[in-house]
Amino acid sequence: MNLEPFFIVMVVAILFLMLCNLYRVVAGPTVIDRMLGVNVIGIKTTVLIVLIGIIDGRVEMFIDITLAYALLNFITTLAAARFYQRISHPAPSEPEESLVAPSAGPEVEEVDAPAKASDSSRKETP
Amino acid sequence: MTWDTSLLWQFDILILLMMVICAVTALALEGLLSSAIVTGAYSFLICLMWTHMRAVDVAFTEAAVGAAISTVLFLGTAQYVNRWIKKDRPREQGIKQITLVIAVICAVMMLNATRDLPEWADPASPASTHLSPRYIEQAYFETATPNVVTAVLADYRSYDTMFEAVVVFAAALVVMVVLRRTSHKHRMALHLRPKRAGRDTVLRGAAQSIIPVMQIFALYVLFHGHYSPGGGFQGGVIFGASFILLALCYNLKFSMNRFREHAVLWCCAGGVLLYAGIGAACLAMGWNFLGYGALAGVLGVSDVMARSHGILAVEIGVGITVMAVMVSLYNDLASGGDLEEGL
Repeated sequence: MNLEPFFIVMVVAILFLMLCNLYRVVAGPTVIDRMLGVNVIGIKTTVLIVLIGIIDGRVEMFIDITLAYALLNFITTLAAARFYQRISHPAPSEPEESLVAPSAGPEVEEVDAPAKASDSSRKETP
Repeated sequence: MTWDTSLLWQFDILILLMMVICAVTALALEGLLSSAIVTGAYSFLICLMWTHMRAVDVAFTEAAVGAAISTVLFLGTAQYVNRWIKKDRPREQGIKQITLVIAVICAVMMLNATRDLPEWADPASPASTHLSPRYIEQAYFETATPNVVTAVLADYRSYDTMFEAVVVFAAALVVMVVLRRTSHKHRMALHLRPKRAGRDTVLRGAAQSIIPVMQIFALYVLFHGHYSPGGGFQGGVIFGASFILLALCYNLKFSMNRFREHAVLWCCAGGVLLYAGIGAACLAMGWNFLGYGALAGVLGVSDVMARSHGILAVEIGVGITVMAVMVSLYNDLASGGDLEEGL
């Protein structure tokens, strides 16, 4: 059974869905909309690369690229979220004491001990 | 096959349209955060374009650099710069209109010149008649490397690749020289930078589980470059991205404790030194610079296998340099040069 037309139709359909995401990226009133839109475009790119590989009949050449995207895609989103957090929420004066997550157990604090030490050394920063 | 050709132009038209939309949007948006994010979407689309043209190695590089590094570096820089649009300056408006006219004229000239270019994938074009057939037919027998791109990159054109590694190294040096000044005035410029709040339990857990996978995948990409797309540059970028992820999920101090500053600098220079050292070793044994056949006697293998091993060695050098340079660029750009706190 020849599945190639099915895959090609799927590629074009995903491209049109990508266009919808792009509308949100271009028009999106807030930065959060744009971040989400670009993240979804990245996920669709991953799927599209695999589909192109299947149509070519050489998935093994393309699977590494999609793995790289799957591993690395959220770094950009994470950096953008950090940036957004920084420009929208000025930090309180005592970050350790004021903002402990209520669900965090005591053992989590031990895991975070080295990070906490570096947090306290950060306080000299003006 | 009719399906495939029909896919070709639909796919091309749609992706090119989206790329133009992304480019115009990135320029038109005023916030630098939004612009950087839209540039990320542009990078995804151009990677799709290259995948579609079967330029798999280029697409891989774009995937690694575009998804992990470039937008993060943009965002790191955008913390310390700003942009605004002056609307009530008639003289600048005039200059901008002249710029627009010049840009349109140049675009028309270049579009006119594209008619002289050969068709895409034209077998009679100069690019596919002169040197490519020799590479495609002989590369495997001369270098025992099935991926022709790797063979061309690291053997036939190894001078180019060596100086690419030097350029990457120089980029890290320049950023360091420009940004590393800890004068009092500079620190005052950074005082608006608030501290990061919260404990980020989910992020830290995710980082702990994904970073080892990422580093193993980077090593796989580096060492499997002979047989599949990938190689030193892509593997190095992915390895460096794992340290950037560590800095994003914890903080810059934490990641710099794991990968110390002087180790980064040693790796930056050491990779280039390894590359050039292999070239010099070949020269010392009476072959050409970077003629890997000279290594046959040392390694105890045939000439062909020696070239394969030489390719692997210089790829490792490129990977080390690129990895360290990516970490160094992030450390300098995201902290504004004082290495106190990153993005």
